[in-house]
Amino acid sequence: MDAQDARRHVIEAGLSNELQVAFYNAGEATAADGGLMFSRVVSRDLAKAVTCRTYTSLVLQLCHLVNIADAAGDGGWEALFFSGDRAASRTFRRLFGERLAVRGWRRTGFDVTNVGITITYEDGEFQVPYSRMPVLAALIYLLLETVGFVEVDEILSNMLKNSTRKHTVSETANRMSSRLYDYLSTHLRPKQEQAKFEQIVSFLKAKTDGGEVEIDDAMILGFWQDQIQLNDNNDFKQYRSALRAFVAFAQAIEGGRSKIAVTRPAAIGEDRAAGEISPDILPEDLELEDDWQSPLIELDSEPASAIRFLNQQERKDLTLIMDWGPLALSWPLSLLRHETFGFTQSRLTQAARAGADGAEITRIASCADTENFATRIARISELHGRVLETLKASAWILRQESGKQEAEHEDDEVIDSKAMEARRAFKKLNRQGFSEDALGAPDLVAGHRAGVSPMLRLRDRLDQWCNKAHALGDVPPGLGKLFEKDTICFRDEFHRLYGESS
Amino acid sequence: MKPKIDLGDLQAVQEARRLFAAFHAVEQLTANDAPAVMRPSFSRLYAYVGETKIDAEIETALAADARLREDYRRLIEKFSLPFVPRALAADSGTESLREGIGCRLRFVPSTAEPSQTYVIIEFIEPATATTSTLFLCDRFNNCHKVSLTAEQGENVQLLLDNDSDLLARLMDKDIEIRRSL
Repeated sequence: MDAQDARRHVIEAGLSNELQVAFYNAGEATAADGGLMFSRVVSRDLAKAVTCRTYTSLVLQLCHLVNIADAAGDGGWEALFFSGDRAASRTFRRLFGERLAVRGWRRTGFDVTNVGITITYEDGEFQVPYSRMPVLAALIYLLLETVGFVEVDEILSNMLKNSTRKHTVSETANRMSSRLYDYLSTHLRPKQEQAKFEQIVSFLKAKTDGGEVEIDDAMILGFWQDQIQLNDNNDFKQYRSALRAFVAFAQAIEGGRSKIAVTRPAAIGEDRAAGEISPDILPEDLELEDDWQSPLIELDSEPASAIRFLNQQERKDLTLIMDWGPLALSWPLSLLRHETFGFTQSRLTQAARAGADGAEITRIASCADTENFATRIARISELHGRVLETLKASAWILRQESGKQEAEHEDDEVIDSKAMEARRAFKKLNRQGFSEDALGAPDLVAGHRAGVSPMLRLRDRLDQWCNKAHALGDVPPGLGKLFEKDTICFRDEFHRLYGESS
Repeated sequence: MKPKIDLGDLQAVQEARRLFAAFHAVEQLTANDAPAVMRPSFSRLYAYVGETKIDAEIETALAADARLREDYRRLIEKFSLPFVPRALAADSGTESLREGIGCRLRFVPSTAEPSQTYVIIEFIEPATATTSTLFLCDRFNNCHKVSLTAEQGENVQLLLDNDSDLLARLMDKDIEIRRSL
């Protein structure tokens, strides 16, 4: 096959590739310790603010933070945001402490408080709390990826020439917001997103009598196959894109049912030509009523984020199961397809992008290397045991901590079998926050305390999903045959999309 | 329970339509699948200015992306020091010397191999002698990085082919040379 042809197929419509790259680069930035610079909750909050165009107040806080960073040491504001440390409240508290210890404030009017840093301007005060600094740091990463360093630096450098007035900082923030707005006007194209919605509705109407329809795994696969056959330039060449669109579709249905939609009925005949997400949609509207809150978000938030409850692979394996909440349970097979055949298709697009030869593309497209469903489910099921061991190790730390306050003579303490197990788990676990140093470190103990509840929820949800996934094998044709059938289906579609070598 | 929608309920469809773009945008923006076409992140570019080694992937991306080059140039200007300024009126004739700030670049043809030239970087001020990287930037924001292995207080000597791009750039008085911090 012609690799050039394959490369043609990797371009996805919808959000511009440039915006996706910008978010990817910002969200996947790595800290010096190899972990992600920004927690998932920070990345998600930023995505919502950008999507709903509610970033103005964040930009204002960011400009004040840049002013603080500039006044708090050498190396410019960049040195604060690109220190290599993970962006967490405690990190910024420490970084400012270190910078100020070297030479103090370079300008007057700045005060460190318990919760953040206050600036006294000629025309008023402004405080930037430490708790906001991670999302502000993520925002500047995004601005640098979108608006670009030259423009961002020019805008900020002008502000720093004379930043003694709050008004000046506000004007700078307006300028910066305006630049981001201009960028998004080109790169965030809701009209194209809207077209995807119509494609899904048309498909569902064609498959039903136009009445009530229950969306299942087969329907999602059918939609993807239909789209591939319909035309060359569709938005859903990637199975993962089709599935994600259905996830958003289901969320939109649920959101539409919620009280938000009832209290703010849609403006019929709304001017879609404006090319924006409807301005009455707020980030809160993207949190559904009775919404499942992923425990990973709590684990990523302080103080639990100080503890490495999950390693990177475990986290990767659990992300969708936790993020998609009830939908992960409704569509266990779709999720399996996403992680197996979807991954194979990602490899295909990467190979095409890298200019791999036809033989290599055909080899990947054959799905010979695709992880089968049974193996995948077994691997996810194994996580249950590891989560339990981690919980036991946490319990040991918390037990020791409470024991310290109650008993002076630990040697005399009678350790029951459960405690023995917990101690054994603690001794075996070699992860950040699980060393002997954790005992007696208040931050780490608080992290363990905060992490127990989300870890328990994670364990329960993991069990539920595994049960659903195992149940797929209980009905004919069984999991093995289902995988074989899917392999033929995906292989055919991949060949259709990426061609066959001669 | 599987998600359901009544396609005959126009109000429900309209509400879902209204929210779909926002949900879908967030879903796509937070997916950690690598986008179709990538470029180095700004944080990588920031780190690269401070590194001595040359990263072929970044250099390729810089060659292909004008805005990335602008950002890189700006970073270099902020996080490096002037070394050999661009001549205000560049001569077209061949010079065997470029005067810099605390340094001097001498170009000496090799006697043993006439097709090669020695570039001798003489550090006049001791403070500049720890320089480990030079950035050679032209008017179009093309900045080439050159790693030096300079011992404290010693000159650096490079032996380059007469037709090498690096030699041409070092001799070109229209190219500004900056040094790492």
